[in-house]
Amino acid sequence: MAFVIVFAASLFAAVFVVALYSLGIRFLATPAPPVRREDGTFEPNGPSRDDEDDDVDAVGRPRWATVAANICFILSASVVLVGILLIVPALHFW
Amino acid sequence: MELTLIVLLVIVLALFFDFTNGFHDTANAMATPIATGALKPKTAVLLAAILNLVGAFLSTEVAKTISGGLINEGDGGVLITPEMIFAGLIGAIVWNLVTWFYGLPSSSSHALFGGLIGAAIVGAGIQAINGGVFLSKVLIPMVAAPLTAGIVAFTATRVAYAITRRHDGRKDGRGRFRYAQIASSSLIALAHGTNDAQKTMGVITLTLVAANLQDPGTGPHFWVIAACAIAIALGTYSGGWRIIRTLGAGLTQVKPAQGFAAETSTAATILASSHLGFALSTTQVASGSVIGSGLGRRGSSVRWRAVGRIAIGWLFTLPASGAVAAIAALIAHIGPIGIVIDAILGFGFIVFIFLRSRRNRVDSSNAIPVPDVAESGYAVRIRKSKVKKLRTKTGTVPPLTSVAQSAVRDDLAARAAERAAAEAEKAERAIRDAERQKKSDGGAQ
Repeated sequence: MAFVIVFAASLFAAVFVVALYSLGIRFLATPAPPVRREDGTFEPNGPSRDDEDDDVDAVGRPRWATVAANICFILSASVVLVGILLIVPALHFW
Repeated sequence: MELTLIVLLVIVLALFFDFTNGFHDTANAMATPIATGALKPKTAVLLAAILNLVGAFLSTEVAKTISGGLINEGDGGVLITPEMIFAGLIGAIVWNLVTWFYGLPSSSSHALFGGLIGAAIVGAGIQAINGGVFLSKVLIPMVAAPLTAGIVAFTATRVAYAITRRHDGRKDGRGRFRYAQIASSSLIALAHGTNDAQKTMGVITLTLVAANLQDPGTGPHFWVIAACAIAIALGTYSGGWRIIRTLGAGLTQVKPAQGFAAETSTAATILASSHLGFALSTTQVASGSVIGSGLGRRGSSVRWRAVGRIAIGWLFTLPASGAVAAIAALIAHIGPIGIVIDAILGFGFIVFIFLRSRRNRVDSSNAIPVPDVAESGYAVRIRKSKVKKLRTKTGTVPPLTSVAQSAVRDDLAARAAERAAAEAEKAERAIRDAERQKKSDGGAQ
């Protein structure tokens, strides 16, 4: 039974952290949104770096994607902190 | 005088065992970051050494029994003498050095248990062994550890690749997994320092108690903690490059996403198991994770021959270290002269292995073939001169350990097969094109 619990806990924890970090990477790889040109066609690679647009950051990635990616990275870093908490016996105060 | 000599020898041997434990297990945390280029080889072992040093000071909850219950110690059981511990340590060190020489990751804890069991059988007979604990603490975990870690790493790798896959041909940014690898491998190194240094602290403390040099029930002295921490850190820093080569490049080619999934699985499995009272070997978990991540990535292959060698090494860990310890215990029974003979033979073996290893030297510059690191998209810059050193006339790499040799052979064979298949396909396509051309020419005429 102990083995099954260890297996389930490990699987959940590892997949959770990896999925979070992977999501962060996926968000960072979000391409810039296509921009409509004056003639009605779309610019495939999004705005250039010089363009000023509230929805995209400096590298052309939508801002929401950057924020989402950072949230994912912070969450996965907090899981690492939980790992440190488990390792250090002095922190086992609960 | 005799007691002082044996206690002194046990302390020296225990610290040397701690040192071998360190360099044997560096690979568990640092093989994959080195293989993917997330960390430079020397930086990786320095980081692991520092974290092992810190980890050793974080916990001093040393074991109440030396053998972890494998031997019926205490009232009504076997009295584990310093001579037995001495012989057990010789068995464990010899096995650790043999497996290191052949680049086989094997459990240092199992080697220590095997050594103690061998010495205990010589001293008190087979009834000294607790069969139930042997089954639950050694045999079942030996199968469960790689299996659990393998399945977890396989799933985590699949998840990582599924989430980051891009269908539009744009860059997927998977190189960023290297940064996460540093965090996950650091966690493993810290956990290793916390768990493994305690074993040696326990051995030394219980020896001091047995020799009436320390009061029973008291914790380890500060000098014991500091000495164990320094020994494991020095061992870790010295690298264990042969095992790093096996885990980093001998089992499968590791890419950053795979490496991160493998290390996270290792850390999760070790932390979950140690906190749920089902302790698993770090080495077996790390090996299982690397294999699982190799199976999880599409297009990746696992070198089963190397896996088989490692499995055989695990099977032989207990009997081999036990046999060496039993011989050492038999010699030690002669008396102080026997102990001195043991010490000389042990020292001679250490020197022999060290000199033998220099013929086929593996260090930070050639542990992982640079082209492999480059292929997985390395973040660190490796000097061109070192790249040149690694190349031979045939385009392969210089002398390797036997496990790595078979891995390179498999790799070369696989690449040759791929090339042949590609050429055959190309030729077939050319024939088809020529036929199509002929048909269209005929139709036009």
